This record gives sequence, C-alpha cells and structure tokens, in this order.
Amino acid sequence: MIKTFRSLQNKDCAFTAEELQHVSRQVNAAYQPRFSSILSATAVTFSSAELLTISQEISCHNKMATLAETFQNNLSLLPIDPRHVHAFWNIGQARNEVQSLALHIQLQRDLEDESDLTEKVRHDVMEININDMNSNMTIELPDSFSAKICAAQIVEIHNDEKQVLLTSSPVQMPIDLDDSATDALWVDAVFISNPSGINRAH
Amino acid sequence: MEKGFLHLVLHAHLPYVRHPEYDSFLEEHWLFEAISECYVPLLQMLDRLQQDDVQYRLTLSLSPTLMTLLQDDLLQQRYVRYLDQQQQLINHELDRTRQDEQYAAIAAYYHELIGRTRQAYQDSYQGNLLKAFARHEQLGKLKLITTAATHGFLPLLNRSEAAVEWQVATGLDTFEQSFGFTPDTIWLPECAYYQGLENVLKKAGVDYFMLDGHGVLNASPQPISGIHAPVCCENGLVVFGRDAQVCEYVWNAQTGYPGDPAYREFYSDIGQELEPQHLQAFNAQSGDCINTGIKYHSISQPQNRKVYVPHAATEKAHQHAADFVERIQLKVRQLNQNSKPVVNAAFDAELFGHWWFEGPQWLEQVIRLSSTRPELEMISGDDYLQTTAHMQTVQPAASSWGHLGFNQYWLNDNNDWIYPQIYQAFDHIAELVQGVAELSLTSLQQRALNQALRSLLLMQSSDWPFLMTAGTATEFAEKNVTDQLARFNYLYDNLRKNRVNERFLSALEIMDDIFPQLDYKAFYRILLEYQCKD
Repeated sequence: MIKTFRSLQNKDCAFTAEELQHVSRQVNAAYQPRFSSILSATAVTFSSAELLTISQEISCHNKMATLAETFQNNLSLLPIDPRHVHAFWNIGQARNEVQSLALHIQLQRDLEDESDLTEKVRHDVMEININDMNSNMTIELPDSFSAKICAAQIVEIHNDEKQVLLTSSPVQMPIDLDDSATDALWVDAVFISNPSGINRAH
Repeated sequence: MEKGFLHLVLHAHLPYVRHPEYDSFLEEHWLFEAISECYVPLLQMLDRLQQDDVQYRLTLSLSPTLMTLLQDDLLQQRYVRYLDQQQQLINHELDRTRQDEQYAAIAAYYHELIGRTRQAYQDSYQGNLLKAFARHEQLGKLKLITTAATHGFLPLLNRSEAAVEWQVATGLDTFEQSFGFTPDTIWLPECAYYQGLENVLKKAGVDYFMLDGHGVLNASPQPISGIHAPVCCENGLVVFGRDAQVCEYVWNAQTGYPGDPAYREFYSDIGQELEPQHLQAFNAQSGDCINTGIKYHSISQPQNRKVYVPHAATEKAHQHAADFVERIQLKVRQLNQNSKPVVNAAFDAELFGHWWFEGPQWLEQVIRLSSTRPELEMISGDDYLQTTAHMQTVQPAASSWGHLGFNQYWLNDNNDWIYPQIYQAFDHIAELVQGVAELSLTSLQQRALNQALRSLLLMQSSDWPFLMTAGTATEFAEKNVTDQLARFNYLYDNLRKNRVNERFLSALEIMDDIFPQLDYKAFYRILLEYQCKD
C-alpha cells in the first residue's frame, strides 16, 4: 500500500511522496532564489541546483586531465628552506632507448677561499638517479656548503654518454638563519653598547 | 627622553568561501563566525575609542577576498540567517538551562551578545562593514591596507614574476575600488618574502612593507639597529621587522595570554556537546560537527569543565593588556637611549575575538593604556617614516612567518602536487593572452578570458596548501584547487576551440563572483613588460 501524507490543515488532501516531490520541484523551479552576477553581460540567472550541476559537470571532466597531458618537457625547482629544494619534472613521452636518467642539482655558492679572485662562484653538482618520467622530489642539500643559487637538469645517460634533456630556471636559496642575529642580542649588545646606531643614509 | 613607538598591524583574511550552488555551505560559517566574533567587535571597539577621543594609530589589512565576501549580497543575507539560527538556538538554551544558575547566566549573556551583534550589524553598520572601517580610516585613527589578490604565497609563485605582479596589482586594484585610494603599503601574504620582491612592490606603488623579524635580522649586511628601526632596500623600499618576541606574548599557544584559564575555551561549542534535538536551529543531524558560536566553558580540562565567567575574563584581559603595555614600555625604555625605537607587532586579525574571544577587549585596553603613556606612541609605518630621515640599506633575507620561517608549510608532501598545476595554468593563460590580446575578441571571449584569470588567482591562494598541511579542512582545500583547475581548464579549452558556452560561463561568473574589474588586457601589459625584460 502506498503511504500518503495528509495536511493537518485539510485532511481531505493526501499526497504520495512522489506527488510531494513533484510539487516541491515545481515550486523550486518557479520560485527558488535565482543567482546572477554583475560579471555576466546578459541577465542570466541560475538556481543553486543549476549552478551545482554545472560546477559538477565541469569538475568531473576537466580536473587535471588537460594539464597533465600537456605539461611536458618541464623541470622546475622550488626553494623550501636553506637546506631543501623541491624539484618536479615531466619529461614527456617515454624514451625507448634510455638506459638511465639522473637529476643534477647544480649548486652555486660564494667562494670560501676569498683569495681566488678570478672566480666569483664555485659550482657543485649533486647527481640523483631517477626512474620516473613525470614525478617530483624534495632534495636535501649537503651540509657542507651553503648554496646561494640552485638550478637543475635532467640528464639522459646512454652508453656512458650524457645528454641534457631539461634545464630548470635557477632559484635563489634562502640563507641559513644566523642564530646570533636575535633581537635580544641587539637590545643588549649591539644597540646599547654600540650606539652609533643608524649608519647609512637613505 | 624620546618616545618609543608601537606599530601594531592586524591582518584580516579569509579565503573565498562563497558557494551559491549550495543552499548553505559549512565553510561560509568561517565568515559568519569571523563577522560576529572579530570584525563587528573590532568595529565596536573603534567606535568606543572614537567616542572617547582616544589617540591611537592602528593598521588593519583587509584581504581582497575578505573585502569581496563582506560586500557580497548573498553572504550578507546568509549571515543574517546565521544570526537567526543563533537567536533561535539561544532562546532554546535559555529554556533548557533555566534550572542551572551558572549555565542560565551564561546563556543570558549570549542572548544579549547575539542581540547586540545583530543590532550593530544591521542597524549601526547596515550590513556594510567595509564602509564602517572606511569611516575610521577617514577619521585618521585607522590605517587600512590590503594584500595580494587571493593571498598567494609569493615566493612559490615566483617561477614567473609576472604571476607575482598580477597578484599584487589585482589586490591593490580591488582595494582601490572598495576604498577609493591605493595604500602606500601592502601586507605580504604569510609575511613571505623572496629576494627581489621589493622590485615588484615598488612598481606597484608600495613604499614600505613588513617582514617577519628574521627576514630583517638576517639581512645583508646585518642591520645594526636590529628590528627596532626600519631598514631600506637598495631600491628605496622600506622594511619593518616584526618583533617575534613581542608577538609571542599574544600568539604562543602555550605561553601566550590567550591560554589563561579565565578565558573562553575555543573548542567547547555546544554544537559539539549537545544532542541534535537541542540543535534544531542549526538543522543538526546525529554525528554532525557544528560550530554554533555558543561556548559555555572557560579553558579547563575536559573532565573538569568550568563554566565561563565573562566579567572575570574581562578583568584578566585588562590585566594582560596592562602587562603587555608595561613590557613594551620597558622595551622601548631599554632601546631608547639614542634613537626612536619602534616595536612592530603584527597578528592575524581573526585571533582577536574568534580564536581568542577576549582579544578585542585586550586590544582596546592596550590602545587605551598606550594613549596614556607619554613615552609610548602608537603609529603606522608611514607615521614613523615621517619622523626619520636615515635608514640602513640592506638586502632582506628570504623568510615567512610560517613554521620554521621559510616555505615548508606551503610546500611539502601534503600539497606539492598543486604547484605544477598552478604553473601550467599560468603558462597556458599567458600564452593564450599573448596570442589573442591584439586581436578583436568578442565580448564572450573576453569574458571567458577574464573568468579563466579569476580561476587562476583563486587556485593560487595560500590558504589551500596551508589547510592541506594543517589537516584541518584538507578535503575542502583540495576541492577548491581541483574545482578551480577544472573551471580554468574548461574555459581554456572553450577558448582554444573557439566554442564558449555562454550558459556555463555565466554560471562560473556567478559562482566565482570576484574581481569584477579584472581585465585580461592588464594581465597582457604585465606579461609584455616581463617579456621585454627577458
């Protein structure tokens, strides 16, 4: 037996659940708040439900597919802190004859030996073997030096020959926090004991 | 003895949490709670200070997304609906608690508070909080500033400096459209700085900005005056260093003032403590986790909950304000032997009232007490710069105010996947705009380009990677990024195929109804400039 609902105000009126939903939909279609935007050139309005349907339809089909397919031949480097960088890359189509791939992180730092004035910076390279054509990783930089600038390359190694496939733009690394550079030090030692204060003109 | 200065900055920001596609949306409550607990109380505080002719200077940063939310008709209506729900709930609570003197008293307190908030919002401010803030700006006590368009984390958008400039320029434009002037400073989202950002800021017309303290203390060369005097970048922009030690008095979860047991417990909401039958005003179902804004307990152990006593909390807030002013005064006395030291304190505005319920009372008392101390003066950054002609020139250090001081919180295993997507979207739209900008586009094509740029900005918000790391609203944050990516891709695809669906475009314009003046031609001009540089 189909359950019916009766109005408290008029017990002669009975509705099935389906009939109630039909009424509800009709009322909604005609009277639900409609949304418009000043961004639209024409006076187009939508109900919440219509907006949600469009939003879901777009989200279902367009999330990241387009980008994932086309964002190829890219290698990017992002600084995290003075000791870490994050690299992500997409080499593109699989290469049949690749024997191995490596990520080279090139570190540039100021010369420790200031007597060598002929070279402004010294370069060091970290080599990390990679397996995926499209991936990302966080790289911990060696303690032994403080890099000012990092850049990366993806290198294909084939029969002991290396070929650069991708090169990133260089990124500036944050500098290590100087533990001595604290406010308290300045208050107690620098400012009060060294009252020369501000020393350079704006 | 010369005066010392307190440069106090509050940064008010919420991500774009507007969802007309739903009849009600949980994250819209972030805005409603912030209006009730923070923005209205701050305005009421400013009104009282004005009424009493208190002399002060306070800087308030309003993010473009927050400005948009506060001006939005739909959200203004929904906020009133939220107040209705609170009113209905507290009426029920007055009845439910009438047998218990302590709980009845606190229920009565909320009944009055909700009524006063409604009166202020609807009658005093007529739903337009920006106008109310603007009034105080015009009176010269409040300095209003803004931040990047969608609070993008600029050091991680810096793969293309045009992306950074687009965030900055759109943010300043949005502010100018709301308030009629362009601020001379900008709040850097998450206080995040990379070397060279000052050039983008200078181009945007910014005169000075604030960094977290270590961004100044680790500058090269190390500033001789530490963080208590501004420093100058090579390009002339001035940098103030946030005083972490002072901010810790307020900010630190363990040792800061807000942890005092007299204060209201943030996590004790009756929406999570009562059975659903008592929460019908909020349409609660069993298992729902609702924030009603009605919280009966002070900070105490869950097994020994203590009922919140508002007047005791107010007294404590006043004590803490006196302590804070005393500490600041002591500090400037120590520093004040040969200069004009400035203490730069900056906080998220939502700390005051939302996270720390008594925060606005504390702040008001800090301002009142500061105004009575002859050795201490509250100022804004530009006030200070008018008093000083000499600054040390340095190169500030990369920094943020996040955990560990750099970019970790916004770039880690929880959120690293978003960056290739954001960069790719930027590359695509940049290429497309450069390809078509000189062509005669139809109105529909122009709208689609502009909307794609809105989606790009919205996906760049620092809030999404932040929430993914915090783990507090991960699903919501991920959905925001993927939805905006989807919308961007959809529009991009439409434009590439020259088949813009006006119905869908209009729906997207309604859902992401932000930056109405955004114009792809302005974006094109930025791209051209960087192309010329390259």
